[in-house]
Amino acid sequence: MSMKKQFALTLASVGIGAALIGGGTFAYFNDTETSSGNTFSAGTIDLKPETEAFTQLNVGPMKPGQTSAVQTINLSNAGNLDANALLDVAYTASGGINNADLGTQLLVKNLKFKGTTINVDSIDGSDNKLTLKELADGTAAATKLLLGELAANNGAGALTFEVEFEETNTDQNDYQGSSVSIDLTFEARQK
Amino acid sequence: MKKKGMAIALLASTLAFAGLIGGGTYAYFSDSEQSTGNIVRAGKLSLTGFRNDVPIQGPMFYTDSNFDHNGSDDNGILGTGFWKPGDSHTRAMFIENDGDIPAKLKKVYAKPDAAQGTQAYQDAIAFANQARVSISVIQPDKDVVGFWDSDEYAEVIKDVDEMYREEYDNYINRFRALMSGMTLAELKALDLEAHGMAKEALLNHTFVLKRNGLSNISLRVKQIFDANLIDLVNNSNEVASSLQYTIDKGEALYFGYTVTLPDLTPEVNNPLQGKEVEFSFSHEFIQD
Repeated sequence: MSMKKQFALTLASVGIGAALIGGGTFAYFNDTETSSGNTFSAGTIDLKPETEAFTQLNVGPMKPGQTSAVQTINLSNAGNLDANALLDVAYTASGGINNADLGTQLLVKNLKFKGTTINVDSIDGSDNKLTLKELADGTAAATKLLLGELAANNGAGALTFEVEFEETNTDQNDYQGSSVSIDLTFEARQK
Repeated sequence: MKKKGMAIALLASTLAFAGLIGGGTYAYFSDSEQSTGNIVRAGKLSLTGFRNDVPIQGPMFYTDSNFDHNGSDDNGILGTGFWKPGDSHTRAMFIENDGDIPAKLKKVYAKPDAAQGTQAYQDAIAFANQARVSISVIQPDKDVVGFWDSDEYAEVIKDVDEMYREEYDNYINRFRALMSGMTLAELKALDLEAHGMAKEALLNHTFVLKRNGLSNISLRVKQIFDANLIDLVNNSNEVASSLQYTIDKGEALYFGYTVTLPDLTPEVNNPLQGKEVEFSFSHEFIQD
């Protein structure tokens, strides 16, 4: 098909005029031109692992001054759209005495995603040490922590951190036997 | 063709009548001619359509760019990629009058390509409920006579595509930090405002079609439809009378289709993930 198209254009403003009179049907010529098969394919974001497939972390028993081994959580995006990974943290404290909240004594250290340190300056307080409680308070649903990119088609990234039971040089006996159960909620959001 | 055929016929019948009254026979002169082969020809209202990027028939919107001249699975070179909330793409097609009577644009409408009642049809309706489409006619702003290639026009549609997306995105981005706290109604209102900005920019802009070795042509955009895609599906969309463009024989109209998928709440956005939907876009013309 020749691609040169001839344009002899008069920019006519076409009024309805006498061609249409009143209501009712009448015979006229018409022709319809259709562009068919227009395809719109919505992309996907699919964060892995599924909730039930996470390996639970089990850290302890710890004493003040002790730092855990590096904890690793591997994430990937099985969808076809690039995504950013976000984190919100919640926990419940139990055990100990006098309403001991172990989360105030645990420091989350070297929080990294894909080897890059995550900036927590806005939530770790003036002492620049991030407790589990500060991490939970700072990452409510509306203020999730941005971790980094999970590229489409199985782009992966690992969240790594250590936990230190802070030695406060005060009496921490209320915390003996206490524990925290931590929920880490990851979201992969389109970039 | 001789015109006297008819006159002689009348004369003959008059004489015959007179002949019957008398009861006898008379000799008379006669002659008869026939005007043969007269043709009454109905004009043909016919249009062809093709899109702007490569010289093959095909849809305006498709996902992957591929055009390796193998024919059967060629899409074209302007694939949209996968859609995600917030995306906007403008594509175009020509409609040429290859009949011999003027054709006036009367209606535009869309239909899912899937059969009613199927999951594919439901998916298409879900997409149509969220997506917005505006249909534009892109034309020289004064009478011009000239020739140009469809790929010269293709550069113009890229300009339209970029301008619309930029204006839309810029407006949305001003409120992006607040979006996660907005209700669905507020997000829809924001989307509408952003479309208003993009539309205004488009209608006020003079686009330039550059021709090889010839003078530039100024083009303007006129929107003939601007609503949710579902409105193009559900209603008989008669074009406003001032926008019912006429295509004379041998002329063509250049249509731009802008489809935008707004970024609404996750509850509204996420059900569309992974869905592939297909639509036909139709233009009905009548004799002028």
